[in-house]
Amino acid sequence: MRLILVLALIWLGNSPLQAAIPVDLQQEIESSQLYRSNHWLKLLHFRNHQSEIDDPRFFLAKDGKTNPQAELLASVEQLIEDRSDTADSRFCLFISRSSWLLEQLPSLRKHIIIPACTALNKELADLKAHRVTLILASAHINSPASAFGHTFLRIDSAESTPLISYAVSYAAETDESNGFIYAFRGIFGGYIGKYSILPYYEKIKEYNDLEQRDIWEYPLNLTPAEIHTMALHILEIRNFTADYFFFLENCSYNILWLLEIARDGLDLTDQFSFNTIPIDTLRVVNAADLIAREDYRPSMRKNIQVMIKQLSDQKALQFAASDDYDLALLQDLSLQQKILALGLSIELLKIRRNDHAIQPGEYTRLLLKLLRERSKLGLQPSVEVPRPVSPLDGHFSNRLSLAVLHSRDEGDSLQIGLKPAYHDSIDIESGYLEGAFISFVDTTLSVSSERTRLESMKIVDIQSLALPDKIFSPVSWLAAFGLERPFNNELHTYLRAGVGKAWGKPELYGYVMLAPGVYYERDWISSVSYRAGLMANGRKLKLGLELERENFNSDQDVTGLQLFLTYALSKNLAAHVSWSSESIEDDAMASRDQDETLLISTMFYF
Amino acid sequence: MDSLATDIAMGKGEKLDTLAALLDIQNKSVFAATLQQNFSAIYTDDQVSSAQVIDNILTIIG
Repeated sequence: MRLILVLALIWLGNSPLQAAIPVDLQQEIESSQLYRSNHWLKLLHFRNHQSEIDDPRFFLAKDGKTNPQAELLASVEQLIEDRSDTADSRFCLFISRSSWLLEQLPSLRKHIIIPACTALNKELADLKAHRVTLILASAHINSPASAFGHTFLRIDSAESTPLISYAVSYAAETDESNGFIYAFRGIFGGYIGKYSILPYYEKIKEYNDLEQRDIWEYPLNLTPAEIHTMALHILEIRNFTADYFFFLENCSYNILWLLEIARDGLDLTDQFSFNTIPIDTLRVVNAADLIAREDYRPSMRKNIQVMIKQLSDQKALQFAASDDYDLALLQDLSLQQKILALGLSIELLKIRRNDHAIQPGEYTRLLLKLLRERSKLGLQPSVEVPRPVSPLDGHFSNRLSLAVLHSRDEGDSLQIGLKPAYHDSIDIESGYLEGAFISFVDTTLSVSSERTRLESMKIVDIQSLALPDKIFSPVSWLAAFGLERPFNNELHTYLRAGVGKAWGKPELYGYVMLAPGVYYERDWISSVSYRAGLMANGRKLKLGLELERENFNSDQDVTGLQLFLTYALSKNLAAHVSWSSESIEDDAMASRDQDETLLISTMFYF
Repeated sequence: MDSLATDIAMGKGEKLDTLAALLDIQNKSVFAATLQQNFSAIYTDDQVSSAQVIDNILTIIG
């Protein structure tokens, strides 16, 4: 009777059980409904009814990308059929799913040959996976491809030798070194993405701009069994590729799959629907109680800034800023100032090398000279870089704002704003890189009794306000492209780029900017904008003032003054008030149009 | 090479810790101090190769 039922099932084709699968196994699969299990769906990276893996070799069933049941049956069938014992045996190649199937289907063991998978087991042993650490290489504004930062995993062994551990990351396969082209192609899925296992020191080397990035390390509280499950999956999935999407299916997003597979019951990928910002994935991982600890490693640049601050002796400063490091300058210095001067010089010399500002031979000679001198001075405590607010405590990077705008001339309107990424000058800076503002597709609609219209869409808006110190004098800059209404009427497409300077401390600084731009709306017009501003930053409060004068080649001159205040009510909720006065002078019409507006806004971050 | 040299000159650091672990050194602080004091004997001149550096370190720690 049982056999007839099974046969009937096969004939009905409802569940296409394979003839090659013995009856006892078929029953086990049917009764457990294993193909419906969450873990199985995750092993296949299933989401929204299909797998996110795009490599056809990953699927053993023809329709495996969309049919998890067929894929499970095909996997079992191939495990049974493949009697080989090589590195390419089905079992070894698909080690993650085969190990799981073996665990879930007790009778499977009877029907298959379990190969030795020697090469794989050696790799597993080499990984020495004891602890997994989630690492955030924080944002670096001068590199558009990684403007939002980058996350990857480090597999640590029991010994504390992070440099010889392995990094697991997901990245687009590309040699493109132009960040803009990379970002552009990446946005439209123009690259193939792949998981990789690299020695950690190799991974770190990829960040040739590491000098400017803070690193945050989050050891995770995974159990040894969970780590083992994850390791097996990494060894399987690294053989296959998926289309890489810069905004959603990117490095940070794909790391989440590994965590979901390690620990059952986590839903992390589901929380991202149209963009995955690295810093947001951290917060999601934190909310899932996976993070055991947080370690901060300041960038080279931050270390340098602290050393410069502590360097009080003029001669020490002169030494560090020189090209040839005349040791005689150090003679009369205190031990503490001497050590600081040498430490700072060593770091600055490395930056000169990174910037190719020095010949390699000359670099080695000077470095050894400095190190030799430093080695005579014994062990000293490192400089303490103040720990910034944790990225975990910053706002999420999607923003919805609802505001009431009162205009003296035009009455009241409702303003609805949506910004899918990332962090702009009116947001509270806690947890973000100071003075670095990036917005994507920041869109504002205004609704009044007379009309509903698109007010502006900042497609890309980047601003970097960099503060100088005793040694560095960085340039501030901006670049922007989008749609706006420069004279409060027609929508214009604009493109703007500017340079400037900033002064002060992160808590209070001023800046000036000179930004030429072009606008298009039936005709091209060009303009030059002069801006000066002041910004005050607190943990929960931000105040800003900006004066702008923009001269157009089409007879208009626009002068504006804006004052704003943002107050964080909680991590992901802020109140924003802004007052502005704007006057538009039109020489041709000999007219002057002046208006004042008050905006009261609630900003939700999600 | 230069990051290990920096660690040795400073008497501490991650590269130095890694090297100590690889060499299975029990007393890391003595190891670090010994290498620091012998910096010039390890990095003899600016032509020194990584292999020579390792040889010099092994000679010093005996």
